[in-house]
Amino acid sequence: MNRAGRTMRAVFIAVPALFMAIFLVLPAVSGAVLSFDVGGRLSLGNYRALLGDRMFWRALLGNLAIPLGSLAIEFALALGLALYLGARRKPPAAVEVAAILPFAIPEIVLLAIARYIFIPRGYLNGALLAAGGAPLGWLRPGSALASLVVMAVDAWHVTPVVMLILLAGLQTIPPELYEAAALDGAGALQTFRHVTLPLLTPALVGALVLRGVDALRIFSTTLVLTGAEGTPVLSTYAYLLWSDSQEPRVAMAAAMMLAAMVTLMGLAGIALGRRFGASGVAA
Amino acid sequence: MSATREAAAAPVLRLRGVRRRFASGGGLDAIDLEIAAGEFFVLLGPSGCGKSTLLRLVAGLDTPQSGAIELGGRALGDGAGGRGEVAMVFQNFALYPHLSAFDNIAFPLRLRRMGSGEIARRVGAAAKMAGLDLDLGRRPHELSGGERQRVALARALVREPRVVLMDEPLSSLDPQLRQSLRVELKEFHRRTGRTFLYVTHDQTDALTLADRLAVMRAGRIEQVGTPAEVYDRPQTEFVARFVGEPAMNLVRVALAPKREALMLGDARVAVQPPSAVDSDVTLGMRPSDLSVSVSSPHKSPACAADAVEIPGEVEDAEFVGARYLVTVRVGASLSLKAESAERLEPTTPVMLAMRRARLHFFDPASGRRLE
Amino acid sequence: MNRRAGAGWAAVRAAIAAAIVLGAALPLYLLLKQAITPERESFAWPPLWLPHRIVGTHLHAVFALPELRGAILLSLGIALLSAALATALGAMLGYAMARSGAGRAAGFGALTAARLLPMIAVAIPLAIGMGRVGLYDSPSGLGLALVHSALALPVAALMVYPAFAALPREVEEAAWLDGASPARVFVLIDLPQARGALAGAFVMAFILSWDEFGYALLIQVTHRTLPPLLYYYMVFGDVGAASALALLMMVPAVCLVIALGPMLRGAMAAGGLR
Repeated sequence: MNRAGRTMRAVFIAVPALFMAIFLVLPAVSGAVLSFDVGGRLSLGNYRALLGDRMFWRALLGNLAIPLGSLAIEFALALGLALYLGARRKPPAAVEVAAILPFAIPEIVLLAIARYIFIPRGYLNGALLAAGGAPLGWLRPGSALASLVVMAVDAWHVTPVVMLILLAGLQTIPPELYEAAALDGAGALQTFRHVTLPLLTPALVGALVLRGVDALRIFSTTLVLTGAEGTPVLSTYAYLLWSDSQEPRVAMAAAMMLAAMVTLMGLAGIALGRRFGASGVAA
Repeated sequence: MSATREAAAAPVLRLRGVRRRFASGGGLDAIDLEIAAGEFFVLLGPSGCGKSTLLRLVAGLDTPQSGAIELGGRALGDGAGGRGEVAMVFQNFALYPHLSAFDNIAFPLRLRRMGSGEIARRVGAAAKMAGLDLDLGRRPHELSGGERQRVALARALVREPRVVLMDEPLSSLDPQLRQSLRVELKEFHRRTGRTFLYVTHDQTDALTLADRLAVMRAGRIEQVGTPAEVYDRPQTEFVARFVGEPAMNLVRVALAPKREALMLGDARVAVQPPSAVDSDVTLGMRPSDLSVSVSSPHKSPACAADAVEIPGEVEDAEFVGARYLVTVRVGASLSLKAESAERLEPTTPVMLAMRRARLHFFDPASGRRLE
Repeated sequence: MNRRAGAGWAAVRAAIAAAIVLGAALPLYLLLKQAITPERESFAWPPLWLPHRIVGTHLHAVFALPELRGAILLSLGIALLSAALATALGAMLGYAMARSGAGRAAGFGALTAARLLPMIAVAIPLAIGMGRVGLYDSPSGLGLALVHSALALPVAALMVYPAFAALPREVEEAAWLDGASPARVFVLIDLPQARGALAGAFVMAFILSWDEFGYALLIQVTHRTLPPLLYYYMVFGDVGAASALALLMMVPAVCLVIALGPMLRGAMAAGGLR
């Protein structure tokens, strides 16, 4: 049986692997090669062009600040939600569904809604006006506020996923520990610090790495909310180079920089995962 | 066994020098075995002895590293050849969970694209043979353990294989069920006359079911023979200990000077050892061969000519249902187990007796039987 | 959790619950309002919170205008095709993962590739390459469908892998002894066992493709799928059509959430991806 099945198993690995190679890996490799191509010769010229472009540096900075902010917001929110939903008294089904909804909604739809809320004559400014305040330039290109809004919207979409992961992590904590802490007279904050947090760390680290890698690749959020030049990040920067400036080589150089960042994050994640014993985190 | 079956006893399965070792330890070492057509052959041994490995090799689920396996005169090749002629009942039955009992049994036939009428007929026949008396539309998870076993059996039989392999099929059933299924299996073998190769660690299974059996240990066959042969004349200490319930008493005894008697501890027993023995020897006595009688100072023991007598004192008596298993202390440091119909109190002086012919002698170094 | 006794906590919990529900419901309501009221109302300043007049023009346009209808059909076709491909290939890889260490390595390797490779780094060379073989911006969307399959494949494999692993080897061996070739064992014994997981993988892959924006934007530039189309309608200020399209886009996922509800907890925590 094992011998006969061996060919089949090899095919079952080879065909999907080949498929992935053709449509993901090969393009990535060819793109990498392209990034070193200047006029048909191997060169670092594209990278040098990047370093000389002020917009690139803004994009690089944005690609660090925005994911960081987004992660902070979404983890704070998700943890709070998970603690709330994971509490002994189960919240009503409507609340559970509502909490998951932002994840179920396609990202582009969420961004559309956000856009209609935050634009200068959008619903948020309308509400502010009605409340007696003054409208703000939420999405003003280049403003810090715009970056904050982008972070918030990005976080809003992904909070449910992180919440689910943390919720699953919370379920693995034996309730006896909470009872023991209560008997010892620990307050809510102390219980959190000494029981919940340490045992939640593997799930937290796992979720952080997973989300961190995704957050770095932010693309549509900035594109839809502020336009590519409003809150520049590396993906939109590369996109513009490709679609507007017709500069695929420099675009690929920028894309490679992003890929390098993501790989670094991924490797850091593996190392962190080993250290904190994060279980069930693939790669 | 009927005369006709004995006449047709050409070996249907032959293993020669079969070897299959695993990196993790365990496996088989140079197995030679011949099984006749129509035999109910049992592979008996403790876990890890290689009996399941052997079964899987015959099934073609694994290939030997060296040696040859022949089924019906033809080599088993690389495993593909044996498939059609061999059927297996797995330990956990391995029924197809998403198929009904009927479809489970019909599966091998459907693979051969048999007509549905023919399939229905043969499934019905196999089910009847296996004693299945229920709605075959039910799924495995709706059946009891015994019913699942019968479905597995029916599935194995439906394609009329040359050899039916069984891998500890009764081990996951409760004792009562085991008992009744054992009887049924025996009956069943008699009716169908097929060759069965049955693997178990339970010596009761082996002794009641087998026409012949092989006792295995650590990848080797220690003895092959009929149940009577293996029980009455175990060839090695291991076989002596493993076969027979309760286990045989095996004690190391020294020779008295001039080979006139044996020293069981400091008790002197008037027995002459076999000629091959010239120093210490291991003596084997089955508890069921040792009779216990309360010795009284006034009674002069009526000693049969071939009887051996051992004086001792009761240490403990264990009730095992039909009788008592009595532990008797002999001398200062030896304990023997014997069977008694009545309960005996500790410290009661008793006399153990057994027939000389029922004694077993083994070489302490090699464990081999000495005659 | 701690004993949350006391009315104080109850009030906080109620407030949180209200915030969550409002945060989800309000934006959806606004979208709905924009889809069923004339554009004039949506452009009003200060914004109108309640609809004044209900019209069906936008929703009608979604199904009548060739561009919009075409995008719906294209998105649907691509999603179905890529889901089928991803499930089929994922089933193969998932089985290999359940039955061999090399398979598991390949599976987790594929997952890593799909997760770590940034869209822009792959989409640009892909657009170039597909242009050479005629798959770029095709009316059938075949090129995009193939990319989507590759993206969903690893997650599909990961979803079916436990289902295959749960089937004891002995059952496969029994089938093999009964005379089935390894391929037939897979089709007749393993696949039926994994029915649920396969369905789940299909749905997941469908939604992944249906929602996908980045690759779609770069590869299907004129024959657009719904996400890039929505983007363009937004950018061009076509509020009514955009809102109607957005509502339509939500249909598959929202149905799923309501249907599966509690089951989602475990499944999504395991897959957890964008």
